[in-house]
Amino acid sequence: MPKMISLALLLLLALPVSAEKGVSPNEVVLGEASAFSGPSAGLGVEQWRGHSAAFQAANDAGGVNGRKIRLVLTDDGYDAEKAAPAVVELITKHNVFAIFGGVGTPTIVKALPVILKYHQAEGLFRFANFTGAQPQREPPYDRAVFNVRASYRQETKAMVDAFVAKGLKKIGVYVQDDAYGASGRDGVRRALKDHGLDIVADATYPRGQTFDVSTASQLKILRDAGVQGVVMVGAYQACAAFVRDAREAGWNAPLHNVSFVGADQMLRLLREEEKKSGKKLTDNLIVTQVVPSYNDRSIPLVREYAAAIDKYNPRVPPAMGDGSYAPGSKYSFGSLEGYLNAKVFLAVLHKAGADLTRKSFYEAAEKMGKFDVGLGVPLELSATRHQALDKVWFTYVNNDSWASRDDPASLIH
Amino acid sequence: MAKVKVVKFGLALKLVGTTVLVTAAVALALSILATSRLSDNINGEFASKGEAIAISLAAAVEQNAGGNISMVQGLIDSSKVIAGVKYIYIQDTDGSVMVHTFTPSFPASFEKTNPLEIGELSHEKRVKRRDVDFDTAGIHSIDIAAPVSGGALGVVHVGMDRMEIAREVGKLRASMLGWALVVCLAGIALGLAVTLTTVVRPIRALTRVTAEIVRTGNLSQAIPTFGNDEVGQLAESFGDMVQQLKQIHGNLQSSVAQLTSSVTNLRSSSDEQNAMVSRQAAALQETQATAQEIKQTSFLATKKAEEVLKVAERADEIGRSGEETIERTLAGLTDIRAQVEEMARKIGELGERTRQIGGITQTVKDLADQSNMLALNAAIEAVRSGEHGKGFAVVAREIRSLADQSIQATNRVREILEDIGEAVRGAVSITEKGAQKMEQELLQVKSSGENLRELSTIVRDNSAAVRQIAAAVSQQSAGISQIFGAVTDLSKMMSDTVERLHSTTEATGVVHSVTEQVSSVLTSYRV
Repeated sequence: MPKMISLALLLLLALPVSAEKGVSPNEVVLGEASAFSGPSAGLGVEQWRGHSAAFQAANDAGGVNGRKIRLVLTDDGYDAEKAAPAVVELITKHNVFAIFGGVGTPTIVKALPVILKYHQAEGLFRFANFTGAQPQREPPYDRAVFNVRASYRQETKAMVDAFVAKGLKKIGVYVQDDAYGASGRDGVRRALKDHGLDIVADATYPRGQTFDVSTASQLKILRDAGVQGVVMVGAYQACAAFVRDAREAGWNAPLHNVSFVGADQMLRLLREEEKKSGKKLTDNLIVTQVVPSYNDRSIPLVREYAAAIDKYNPRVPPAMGDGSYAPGSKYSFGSLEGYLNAKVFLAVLHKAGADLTRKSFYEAAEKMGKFDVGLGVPLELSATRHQALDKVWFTYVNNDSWASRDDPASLIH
Repeated sequence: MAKVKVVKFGLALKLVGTTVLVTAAVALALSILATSRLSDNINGEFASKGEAIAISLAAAVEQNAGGNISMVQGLIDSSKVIAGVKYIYIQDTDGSVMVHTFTPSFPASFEKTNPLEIGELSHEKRVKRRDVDFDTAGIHSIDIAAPVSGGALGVVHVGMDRMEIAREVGKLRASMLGWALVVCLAGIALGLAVTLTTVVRPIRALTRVTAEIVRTGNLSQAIPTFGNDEVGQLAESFGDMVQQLKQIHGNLQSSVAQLTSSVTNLRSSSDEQNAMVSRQAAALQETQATAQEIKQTSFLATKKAEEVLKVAERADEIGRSGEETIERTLAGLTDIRAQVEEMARKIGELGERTRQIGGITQTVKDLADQSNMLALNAAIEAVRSGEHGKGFAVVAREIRSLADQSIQATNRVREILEDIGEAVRGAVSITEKGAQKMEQELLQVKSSGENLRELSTIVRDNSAAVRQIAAAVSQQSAGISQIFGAVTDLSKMMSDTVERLHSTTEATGVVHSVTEQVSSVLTSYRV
């Protein structure tokens, strides 16, 4: 008997050594903990739609080095307290190769120490989170994370610079009362500091606030301070509510949102409100994006994305979430970003070669250098650069969707 | 028969009520004492909890020094959900607010409510604690300021909600009072049980026996006994009392029998007397009624007699004045008759004179006729005389005309005289007729006077009789009045007698009924 046990123990110990976690000859398993329920479900679902279309296309083409991509999902509901357990579950229970995607700053802030620990212990890393916050871009966590998109700091700086160039110096913020909001506020403050300015009014709202809740108290704080331009760092329900309340109160200052807001979902809410009230709500509304407009078919990646969405048209993740969100239209910024993230991952995976381990992938990523995935803008990854893209696009409402423009000054009035 | 009242607020309730009041007062006092102690304790507990959070946050921020605001925000977000934490904010080295947990915004100047300078705290003291009341933002907190790296890297402020403490104390007070209520209820139950078994139940048994005696009068039933305590002694005395009652009952019964027979005798004689007097009274009442009727009738007769007398006197008077009038009429009529005769005579004279005047007139007419003749002769003579007679012829013509006129005048006089004679004859006949009528009336008046005189005599006789009757009736009336007065006095006296007899009867009745009651009470007791 004791012999049998020791043999079994030996086998058990031997197995993990011989096979890399989440990798088999014909499969790579990625774990995604994301917002599939609650008021920000739209962000998680849209992102999932983009990357699952890209992975399906790759899988249908035979995978990478004979390995197909499989996603294991868990729902953190954009709840900071659920974020770390969700990631732990993916790593320890599902033995995923890497943590892919995910939504939000407060969630990643909680997940990062876990990621870092497993990175140091077994080379795990996180790839392409849907947030522009700083923690995963700075030590010590930057080592364990690869980002694709530009940061909030970059988005807010681009917008603040545009405001100041236009002569608007009294800038206020409307931010979520958490790490995401704090990150945005910090970005605005740093950008203003470069111009010798500071935030003149600072309004916050509680995370998870829905569209039907009035934001009159926040509006009053900003208006009373004589704010000329607002940077909003929040989620689409509460931000759409603020846009609605500001415009309905007759306040027409330019309102800016960062990419995370969920521009398409916000536009949908505002259009419904416009139908009800008959008041135009989308003037002087700018959203900075970290991907181009999905309507810009001059870009090869956008064409490829549209074709993949047309072909696979993923709706909602199977057996996930609470049904609170259903896609309003086929294309969106969220799904395009998801698609882009997947394309970058696939590019690195390709470079990592047939002998795939976490280590080989990590090294391949740091050796990517400048590369292109059809975006028309060069991407770059290296040992000192864990963020592939720096470009920020300015978008505005044109007819029933968003259009991008390179000259932000022409959007502010 | 008296009923035993159902006791609503009985002995048990009074005893238990007192217990409840005392227990409730003690519970309330204890609750107040305990909650005030507890309030202090919770205050201390919250403060030390806040201190722990602030110190550990300061340590965490220290480790993250110069680092990432999002991570710091993540740190304070996790601590914010700890019970009792109202807010957390972290000040930068320059005093500006780096991160906070307020919505919709950080209250202006709130960071100045518990300022902490670098090096302000001694080594032993790791935090600065202060009660903050910032009404504009509705904040009532214990603010705990913990320096990051001795204040060189900023200050962590943790606000523990004092309202939350108040709520906790309130909850505790409610639960303590709830338990006090439970204890009260248990006390009531226990008190009730003890009182019921040791006091209320024996007293109820005694009450039952008493009620039975009251209801059935059964004095022979067994009196229960209960131990040696106060209630047991009460039961024993109660038994003795019932024994005594039995003896008294026997004595009373014989006395009542004697009283009953005396009362019965008294009652029958009183009843007889009563009946007799009642009959007398009835007869007297009838007499009185009759006397009253007679009196009434007599009074009416007197009245009538007086009226008749008055009528008779009036008739006498009228008779007398009638007689006088008739006599005066007779005298007047006799005078008229004499005057009528004189008038007839004068009218006769007038007729004679008229006839005389007629003779004279005839003479005058004869003269005139002769004159006429003469004149006619003269005229014939004159015509024969021719021219010389002419003048004479004229005179003759004149005389003839005069004679014609005289004849005519005398004819007229004769006619007038004849008319007068006719009128005088008429007057004479009318006068004679009037005289005859007067004669007849005179006779009638005379006979009327006779009749009236007879009537007056009869009336006068009548009056005398009536006067006598009236006098007699008046005397009778007086007599009857005296009789009536006497009967009325008698009746009044009889009423008094009857009344007195009644009260005697009543008194007898009362004595009788009392005797009966005593007797029935006595029979209702079974000895």
